[in-house]
Amino acid sequence: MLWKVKTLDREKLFEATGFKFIINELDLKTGFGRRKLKELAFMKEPGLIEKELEELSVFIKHFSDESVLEKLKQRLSLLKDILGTIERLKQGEELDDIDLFELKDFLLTYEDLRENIQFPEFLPKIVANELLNLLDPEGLKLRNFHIYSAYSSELTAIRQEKRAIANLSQAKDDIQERIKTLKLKEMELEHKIRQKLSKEFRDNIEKITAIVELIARIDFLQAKAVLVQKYNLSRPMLSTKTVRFRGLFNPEIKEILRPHHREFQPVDLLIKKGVCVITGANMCGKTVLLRTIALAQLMFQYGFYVPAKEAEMVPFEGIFFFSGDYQSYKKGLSSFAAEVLELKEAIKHVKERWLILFDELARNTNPDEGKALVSSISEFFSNSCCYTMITTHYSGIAEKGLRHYRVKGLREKLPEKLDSPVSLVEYVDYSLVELKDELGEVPHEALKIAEIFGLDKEIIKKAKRKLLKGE
Amino acid sequence: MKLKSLSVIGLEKNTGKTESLRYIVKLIKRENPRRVLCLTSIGLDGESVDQVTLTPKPEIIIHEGDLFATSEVHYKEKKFLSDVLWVSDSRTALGRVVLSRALENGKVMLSGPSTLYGIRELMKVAKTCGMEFFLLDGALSRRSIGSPFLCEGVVLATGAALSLNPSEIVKKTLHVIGLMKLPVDPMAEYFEKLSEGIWLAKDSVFEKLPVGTVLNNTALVLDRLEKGCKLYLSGSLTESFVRRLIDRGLQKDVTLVVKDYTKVFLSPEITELFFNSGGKLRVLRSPRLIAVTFNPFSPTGYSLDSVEILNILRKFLDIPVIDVMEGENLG
Repeated sequence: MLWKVKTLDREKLFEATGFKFIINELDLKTGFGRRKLKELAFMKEPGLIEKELEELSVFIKHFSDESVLEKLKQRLSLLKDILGTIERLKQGEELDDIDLFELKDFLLTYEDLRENIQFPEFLPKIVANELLNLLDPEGLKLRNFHIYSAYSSELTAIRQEKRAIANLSQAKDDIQERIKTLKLKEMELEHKIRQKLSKEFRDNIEKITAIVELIARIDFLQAKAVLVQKYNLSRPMLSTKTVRFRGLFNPEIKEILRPHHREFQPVDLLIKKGVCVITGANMCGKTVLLRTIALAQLMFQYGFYVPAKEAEMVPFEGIFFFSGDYQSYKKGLSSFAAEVLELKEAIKHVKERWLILFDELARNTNPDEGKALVSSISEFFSNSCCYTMITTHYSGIAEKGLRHYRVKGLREKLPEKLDSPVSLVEYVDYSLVELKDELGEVPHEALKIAEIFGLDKEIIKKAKRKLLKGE
Repeated sequence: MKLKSLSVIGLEKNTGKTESLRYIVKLIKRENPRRVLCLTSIGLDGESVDQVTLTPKPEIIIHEGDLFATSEVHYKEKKFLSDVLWVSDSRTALGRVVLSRALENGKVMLSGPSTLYGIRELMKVAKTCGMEFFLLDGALSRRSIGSPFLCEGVVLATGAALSLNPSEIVKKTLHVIGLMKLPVDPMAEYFEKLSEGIWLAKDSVFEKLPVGTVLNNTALVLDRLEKGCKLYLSGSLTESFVRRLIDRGLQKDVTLVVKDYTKVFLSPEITELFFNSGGKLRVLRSPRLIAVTFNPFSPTGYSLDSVEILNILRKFLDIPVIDVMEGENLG
């Protein structure tokens, strides 16, 4: 089942959630693998996902020896893309010597790969020797090709005669004439042989396509396996009810922090059917958290391992990520109008099991109406089939019946002054606390953060005074 | 010939490069018929496809056992038996580049890789296929300007196509050869490491001037020049810049340094004026020019009396000057 979403939306989602980063990290070695990437399908069937994950797990075990995996990668990279040739075959065209050379080169490299590297059991065994023999009538296994004399005794005879008389005096007209005749005959025979070869390969097109598919699968598996190792991803367990993460992290941000010698603080959380509100001060990672949840879900349903120590996951019908990034709309619409359009889009899925992630809902309007809107949307979605998460810094949204997480936020000990946002990482506790039956008061940390980053002292002083007075 | 690679560069279009190439092949074969050659030419980029299709490019004779690299389009047009050895991943305007071995003598049009990278890649592959001598039909087009430096030696092809006036031919030919023989600056390896732009060097202190090219702000560059300094231009050296340098009388005090002769865009007249008035011009690298070939036939059907021109050229040059229609050893 393919995910029926316009490619543009898909691209947008991949970009906003950081799944694009993951895709770009895939070190695919063949054109076949890269093509598979384009046809990558969003899986909804638990059985399909489980099969994909199981295969990846077997693959990783099978290639646990890093040197063998290296060897596989190196050999894969030798396989040249022959999809153009396959396409020509399908259309009934006659292959020329260059096509045939490429086919031979491909088959030789494939056979070489097969002979030297044992594949896991779940992959089909496809032997290509007979196909290879068609292009290697002399059985020399050399990486070159021409229409060999061995294809036909008639061709052999013509070439022999041509060679014999070419060494004679070429000046004589009758010899020239004879050479011309032979040349024509030779070309005609070569043409016939090419036609015959083309037909044989056309008859075997299914086998060739199967080999191509096999290589694409292996290439994809190796690229995913490398990611698992590089980012310490783990295999998610399938669940029918709840999504549960232990040690969820964002691989992309982890990479960004690394050169600054800072670590990404992993987070534990639980997502159930209904609505869960996440509150927390500015710069406390609410958006990153939401993006990471979306990323993990995408990775799961595209058959990857996920960025967490442990994960229990539910396949959804779709993912809606409300990121509030309206660059494309901004030209014609106010940002609030754009938000409303997005919301309408999300509401379409209320009767299906979707993962709905709202980042800073109704941020683009006044706080009074905004808060009321967020409240009613929460209520609306809590009665749906969706699993919904809403981040907000409006207080008092999380009423009864809604689950509520708060990002712990700024640590006790704070520095006097900071220059870059990255350095704030050390002073924030990103872990989540689940609040029960408490009204969701949002901690007032915005002024503190503004102060650390050196906003004019007068302004801060005034703001504090206004807060005290309750203005 | 002790060299292992040679590129033939035409002084201008149709100066008989192909004849020159044919001649060199003949010469190498005469010396050692079993030496495995690999022939190719710098292919054309997209815009110049018309040139290939509209003007008939002469075919080159390939000997049995030799390698040649040409585009898919031209490979399919040839009519002799050859063995495909390798096909490039990258495409030129005429398709991918096919390297093959001739299994009998024949003729083919050559249109090889269109980038320097492509040529280098081809040289590597050809070597693994047993190539012993690489012969490149080079080009003067801007894109492949580095072609004189890809091979160990360069042969310059000149001829009647250049002009119908013998003294004009001599003048133009000697001018280019003069530029090719510009001395390499002793500080070349330091200049080599500098970023693109205009640099002033004095007492081994390098300073990048805040202008992109000399065309942008000639006065600013000239104002900064003082006695004993070197001015390194990573881009082109233009006629107007040199003129203003001479106007201010600065040419005696400074040394100009450019990447190589292909960056010098000066007419023979201004070049002469520059050097005669004490100007100094150096390069970071210079090609190894091993011979000049002369083709007395112009593509329009004219032919010149080559004896006179050859004699003058020989008087001025210490390398072989060969009439491709007559023949002489390359040395």
